[in-house]
Amino acid sequence: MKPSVLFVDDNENILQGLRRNLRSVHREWDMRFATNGAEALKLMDETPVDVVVSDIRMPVKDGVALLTEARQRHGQSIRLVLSGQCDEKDIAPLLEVSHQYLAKPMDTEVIIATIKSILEAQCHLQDAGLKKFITGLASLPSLPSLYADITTELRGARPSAQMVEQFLLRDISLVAKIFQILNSSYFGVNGDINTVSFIWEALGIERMKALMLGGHIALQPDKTLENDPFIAELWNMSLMTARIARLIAKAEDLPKKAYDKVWVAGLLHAIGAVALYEYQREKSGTVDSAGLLDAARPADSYVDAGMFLAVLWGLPHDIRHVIRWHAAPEKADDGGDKNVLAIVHVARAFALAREDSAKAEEDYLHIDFLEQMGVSEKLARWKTVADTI
Amino acid sequence: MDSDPFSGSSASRLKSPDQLGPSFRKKAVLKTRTKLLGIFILMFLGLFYSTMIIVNQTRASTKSIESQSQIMANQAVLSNAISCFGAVKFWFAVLDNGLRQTPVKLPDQSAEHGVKCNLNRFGDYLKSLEAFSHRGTDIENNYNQMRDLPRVAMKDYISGNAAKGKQTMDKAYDKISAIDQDLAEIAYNINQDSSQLSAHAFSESERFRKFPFLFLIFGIAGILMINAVIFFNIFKPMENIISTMVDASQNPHHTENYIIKHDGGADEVGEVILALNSLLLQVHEGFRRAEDAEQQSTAAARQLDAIFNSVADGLITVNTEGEIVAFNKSACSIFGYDRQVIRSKKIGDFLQPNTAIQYMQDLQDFINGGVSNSVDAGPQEITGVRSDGSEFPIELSVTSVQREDGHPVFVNVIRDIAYRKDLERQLVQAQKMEALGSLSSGIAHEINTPTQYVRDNLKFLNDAFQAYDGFYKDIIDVKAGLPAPAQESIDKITVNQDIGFFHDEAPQALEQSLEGVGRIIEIVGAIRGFSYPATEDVVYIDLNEALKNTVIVSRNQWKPFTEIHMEFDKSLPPVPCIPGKLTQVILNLIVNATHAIEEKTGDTPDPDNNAITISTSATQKKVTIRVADTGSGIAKENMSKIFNPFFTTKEVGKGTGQGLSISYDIVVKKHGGSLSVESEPGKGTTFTIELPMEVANAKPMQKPRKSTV
Repeated sequence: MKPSVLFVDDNENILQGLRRNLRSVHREWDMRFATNGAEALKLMDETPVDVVVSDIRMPVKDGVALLTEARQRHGQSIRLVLSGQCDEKDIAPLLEVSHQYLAKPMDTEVIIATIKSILEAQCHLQDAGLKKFITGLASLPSLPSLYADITTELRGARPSAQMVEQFLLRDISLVAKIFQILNSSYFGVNGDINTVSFIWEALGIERMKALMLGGHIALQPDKTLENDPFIAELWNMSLMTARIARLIAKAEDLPKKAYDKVWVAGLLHAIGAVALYEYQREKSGTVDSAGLLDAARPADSYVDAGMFLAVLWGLPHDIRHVIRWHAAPEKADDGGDKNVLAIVHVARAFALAREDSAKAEEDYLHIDFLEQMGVSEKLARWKTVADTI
Repeated sequence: MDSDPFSGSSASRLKSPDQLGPSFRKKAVLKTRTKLLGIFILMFLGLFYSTMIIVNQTRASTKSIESQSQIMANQAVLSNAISCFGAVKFWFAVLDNGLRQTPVKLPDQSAEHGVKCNLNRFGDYLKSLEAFSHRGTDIENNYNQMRDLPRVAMKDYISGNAAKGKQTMDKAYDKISAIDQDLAEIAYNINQDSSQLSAHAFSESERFRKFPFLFLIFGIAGILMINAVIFFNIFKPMENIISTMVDASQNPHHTENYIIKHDGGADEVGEVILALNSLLLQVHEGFRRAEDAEQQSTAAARQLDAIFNSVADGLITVNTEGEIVAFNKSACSIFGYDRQVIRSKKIGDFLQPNTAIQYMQDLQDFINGGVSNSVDAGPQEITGVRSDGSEFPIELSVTSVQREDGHPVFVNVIRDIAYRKDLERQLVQAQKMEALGSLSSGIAHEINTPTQYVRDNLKFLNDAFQAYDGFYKDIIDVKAGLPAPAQESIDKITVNQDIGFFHDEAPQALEQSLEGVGRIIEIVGAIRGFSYPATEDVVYIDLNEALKNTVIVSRNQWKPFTEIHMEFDKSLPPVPCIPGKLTQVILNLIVNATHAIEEKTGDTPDPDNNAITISTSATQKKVTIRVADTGSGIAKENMSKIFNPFFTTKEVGKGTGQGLSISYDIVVKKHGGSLSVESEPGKGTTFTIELPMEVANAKPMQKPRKSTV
């Protein structure tokens, strides 16, 4: 069945311009157009759509209201924003109800590519319930202690951006959410941003405070998570991977920007496991953590779930690349930064070997790939660096 | 200087009676009186007690004497009674003897008569005896029983009934013995009473002897106590007061040293002391205030002088002729004159000629009683002239002061407002930027929406044209195989519709349009990116992007004169800075560089051979931004002055001389960086900004406080 895409804008010229330029996909997609939120909802109620692309400022029912209702009534729909500007007050709710913000003027080719990549990543998942669950996620759970540290700092009289950043950079869920925001145009900045520091240019500490404390980018975490051994293991392993990866990047004398990139890639590489964990918890109340971190699981492994989430949230390309290929780097074929991939691949192997004494780094390493990358002879040195932790 | 005298410590040490309150006052008044009253009462009680003793004693004595005389009277009665009864007994014995003889020797009548007479006499005493002894009654009973017995017995004897007579006589005997015994008892009792009375009288008289001593002791003690009270409570303090007052009167300036010590002033003298102390303090206070006032007026004069000379504003007092009467230091420094030189100047020398004329006219108007434009009319902004002839903006307030001799003087308050003027200009600039910021996001939206569909449609048209062009080419290809008339008509249509021209021009037109739309998008984006919020928060930014935006928005300024090359370090990490301020610096440097190039090329701009090169680079610790131009350069003698405020070599209207000083302030003070310059006259100038990667006012990196992973 053809995927259906609904475009909503009160300006007919925009819709027509889009329609004309979407000509290349008119055979692949079932495209619909609506000029306000009410009309769009009516169309969705008649026939559910896979993707909604909506403007914000519209008469009758604006984009925020439309996307909010769409999320409630059609949780499986992917919700994108295509807008020139929106009120500051609309941004916070948008962070919860939309997956990406595309700023006008946006090249139609980019719109097509974005939608295609999301649909493609979604196809990798077999479980329809999981698809719907991930699409409905506004944020993932944070580690309660880190969440508390951040909110405490933000509530202080003079919150320090650096302190917040320090805590933030240790939480998988918050980093993912922040990068979703940074890489969309919610705050007027748009680009392939891998560096957390830019959040302060885009947001500023006050906005960060309002969003964080208002629960727009992170929900109050479930206290039970703190004591869950799987969550502890996952966070430990991710954080360890990030730390080792950054040390290797430093040792390799890469530019400073790359430190952040490998850190974030390392931290987020297993983000799919967080989504799977939450999905199981929601579905059955209990979690069977066995195999949750098995990249080679035949159907709906954490890699597939992570990839869908990363593409849906518009995470930077190199990060997506690592999320998708970190366990099987030799298959990587979509033009991501292979140096970053190699570093995180190795860092993860080191981290896993530390966790499980029964395993050795070699059990997780793809030597062929490393040889192909010309880093296999560096492994010993990298191991020395990693062992300094 | 001691401040309010009533809040000082002296006042709290000594309170005036009024301050002590009514209860104390009452107590104080009662104290000595009470003492005296007490002593009087004690004395009175003592004397009363002594007197009572005397009275009692006297009464007791009288009683005793009375008893004694009673006893004596009783004794007399008794002894009479006894002697009478003795006579009774004698005569009875005589009678009895006579009767008992055998035969009866009848006595003469006298014996019986003797008994009878003496018994009667005895009977007379009986009432008296009864009065002081119960035995008297017994005696009377016996007496009454025996009174007639002798006569009866005698009759019996006479009648010869001797036995009966004898019996009667024995009976009488018994009675006589009973009476005798009773009398003896009475006598004993009286003697007993008498001796007791004597003993009592003796003891009473012993007590009576103590009386004079008691009286004397109470009397003397009372008098001594009264004297003591008067001495200690009145004479002694009075003496003290008098000597203190005498001393104090000799040293009236320091009466506070003569405060009279007192145990709290709880009596009349205490009150006097409190009142005097209060008076002493007030006298002292009066003198002290007078002294203070004197000192203050001297100090005030000095202080006034110091203030006069330390105010930042220039103060010049002139007379009606505009001649200087007084001036302060600031006046000298503002106008650049020596103290000695300024004395000989007139106010007009400090003002622009026209302003000076107007000033003197205003003074004249005021003196003539007319309305003056400037005198007492608040501050006005005019142009001043320094000693070197340079002009600068000042704010002048002229105030008239009426002197005692009737001639007014005029106080001129002069404020150098060059700096303020410049701040105003900066503020206007900042407001412009802010307005641009808030407007730009609104405008951006307005532009972005049509841009979206203009570009979409252009792309579509481009596709459409290519399709048509392909179609046209196909027709041309097909044309070759068609018959000649068909070919001709095709050619005719082609020419008539100018298809060839469209074929040549349309792709270019579309391409250029798309490029133009691209530029619009870029510029709108740059304006949005350039207009940072007007805060001074340090945030991390993509410096290359910020520089690019600045170059784009200032394009209008530099485009006619020069190219701009951007040589950016692509691996530049996020740079901590105040974005709005930093871009202002870059804009300044671009504008300065453009002016330098413009100055060099003069009327023949040569953008192709001139360039501004903006480059970035970074180390671990700092980021370097270089803005190099190929302009006129900076003369050696000006190199040291270029960062000074107001220094400018540009023609009027082109520069305020503030750009570099503000830039310096932003880079050095706000970012903790450095701004340096190298220049070669005629060849160009390079400004180098270095920014630290750790910004001073950002909190230092800290280790996370706790961690679970």
